[in-house]
Amino acid sequence: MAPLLEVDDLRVEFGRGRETASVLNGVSYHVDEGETLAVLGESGSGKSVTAQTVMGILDTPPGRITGGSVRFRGEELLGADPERRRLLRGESMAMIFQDALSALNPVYSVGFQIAEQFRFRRGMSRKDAMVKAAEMLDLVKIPNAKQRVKEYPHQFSGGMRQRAMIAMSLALDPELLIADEPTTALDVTVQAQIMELLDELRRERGMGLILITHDLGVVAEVADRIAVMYAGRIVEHTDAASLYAHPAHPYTRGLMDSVPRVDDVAGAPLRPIPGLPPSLSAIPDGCPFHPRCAHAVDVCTDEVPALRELGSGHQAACHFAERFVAEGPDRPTTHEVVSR
Amino acid sequence: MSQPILSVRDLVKHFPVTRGVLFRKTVGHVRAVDGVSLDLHPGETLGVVGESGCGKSTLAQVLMRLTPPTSGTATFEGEDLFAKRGAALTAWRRDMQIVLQDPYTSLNPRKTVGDIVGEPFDIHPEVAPKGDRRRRVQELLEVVGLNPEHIRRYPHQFSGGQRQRVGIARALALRPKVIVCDEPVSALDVSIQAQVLNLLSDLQREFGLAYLFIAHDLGVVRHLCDRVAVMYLGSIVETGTAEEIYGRASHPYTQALLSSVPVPDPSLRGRRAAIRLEGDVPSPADPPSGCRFRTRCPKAAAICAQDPPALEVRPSTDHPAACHFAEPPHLVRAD
Repeated sequence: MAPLLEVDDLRVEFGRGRETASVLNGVSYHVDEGETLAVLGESGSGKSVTAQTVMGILDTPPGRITGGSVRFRGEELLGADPERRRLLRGESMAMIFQDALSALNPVYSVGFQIAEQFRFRRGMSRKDAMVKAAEMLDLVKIPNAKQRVKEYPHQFSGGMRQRAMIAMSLALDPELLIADEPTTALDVTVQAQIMELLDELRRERGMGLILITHDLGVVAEVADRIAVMYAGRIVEHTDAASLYAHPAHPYTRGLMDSVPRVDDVAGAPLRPIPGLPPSLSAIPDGCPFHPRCAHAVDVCTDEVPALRELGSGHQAACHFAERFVAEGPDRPTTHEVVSR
Repeated sequence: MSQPILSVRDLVKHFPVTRGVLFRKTVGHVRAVDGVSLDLHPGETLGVVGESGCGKSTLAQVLMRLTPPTSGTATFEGEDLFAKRGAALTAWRRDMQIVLQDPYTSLNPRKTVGDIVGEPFDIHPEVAPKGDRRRRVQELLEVVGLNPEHIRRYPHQFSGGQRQRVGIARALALRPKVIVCDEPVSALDVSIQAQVLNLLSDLQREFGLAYLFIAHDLGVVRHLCDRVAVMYLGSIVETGTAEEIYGRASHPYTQALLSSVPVPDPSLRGRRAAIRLEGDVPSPADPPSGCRFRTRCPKAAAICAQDPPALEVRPSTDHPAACHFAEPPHLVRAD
């Protein structure tokens, strides 16, 4: 059976001539029904552009899709009729964004914005659509949904706005939900609530979920599989457990060493990745990570390492991936867990 | 223990909420900071953690004398901080500097990095004679890990992490004794964040700085801070050494906060005890009676609605917590 979503060798550029920024340089991943794929990466790694291309909301120009394919249940989406794509959005795939306040329209009530989908896609009356909107708010656990459905975005707290966004994205019961940094703007206690809600809804509805984030902690708690992106490429891809237990790419290892953790041994020094991510209009030859990599040798500057299979589904784009897998992670793994 | 360099007692900052244009009427107050006491010792890092709206940034602004307090006292090296005027105030500003959160808006886009880092010398010319400034600025850039040749560049030519280094260089220019860091790394990517955190530790060792480190990221605070104060709705709910807070948190809010932080280790999935708080932080304009946290607290009882709990050491704990039912969590070995 074809996977729910399949992205294959996707390439996207911005700008022209010498200024051309290669934002995606051959990104491939897939998501199955009911599964959570986390796309992990720092700013500029291309994780959001991939999602925008999948949803068909990439601005072209300035963006330009120069190759690859995006298939939803086997159906090619790149180059498909815009009307067909519009129908798929909301109905089959939906997306929620980082900043819920700017994603909501301030001059319409939250309920009205959710109800629009029921009116225009399901042909419901205004009144019926508002009742459905209130049900959706209830589904995402907004208290007093019936009253709050008439309120405006500014009357909602940050966490509630994100809940409203989730309600809106799930209104037409999509099979795939893309969550682009859904909790980055939220406080930790609220972040935990929202992540739990997303996970619960995914399980109940058997949705595929693509979680785009830069937070290694959030990923570890909910992802089935993880794709790590760097400079418009996927540099490592495996299931959540083996990524943390046997990180194969020096970039992944560097990220893990960079994160200050609450369960850290006190005073353990952070080992940051030196340097900066490359400019996307001047990605270095060979491995794009080599200027920042402590293990780089000649072959790294000459040859682009392909994303290759290391066994049991673990893929990494590093010439020396096997060596790193064998070494295991750099940091100690004892924790004390706070329980009540 | 040494004398604290900065000592704050019962600091209160209320912002009036007004209504009407012609006849402005005060209809209430936002209690941004509501009775905060803390001590900062020379050379140490005190972390102030809390969620958005808990008053941690207002606290920084009041202590920097950017906004006057409503009431309360603070002393810097034994002198009354809020009584300083004129020349004494200017002289004090050399000793206490701030690094701001957003490296994109806290640097003037029309000035070169050299001008930005050198500006403190214009205000305090006694620190560096005019002919010596360029060299001093270049030294500062080098100290924070920037190329001294880039003195003529503008902020937009730098990445976020580099801009934050410029902000740190500016704060260091006058050789302060205390630096208030208001969320200095929250706008940065993980790999860059670690570089800046390491820089802050190195600078502290080199210059004997004391940091008042304000952050919402508990991992960052654990990493950098000797002592930690946890804030909720304008007051400190628990304070202690990093070891006490992270190992034996006794306030239910701190416990919930710690259990909400995702730990990057899938093998712990489902094995960590999760304390999930319901709802959102109440408005500081209309805080709950008694204990501020009671509306979201899993332990709340009748007494919590009446008596605001004092920040004090309780029978079963070894550090102060503002909770009637403070008790340490029991520790479970995860592996």
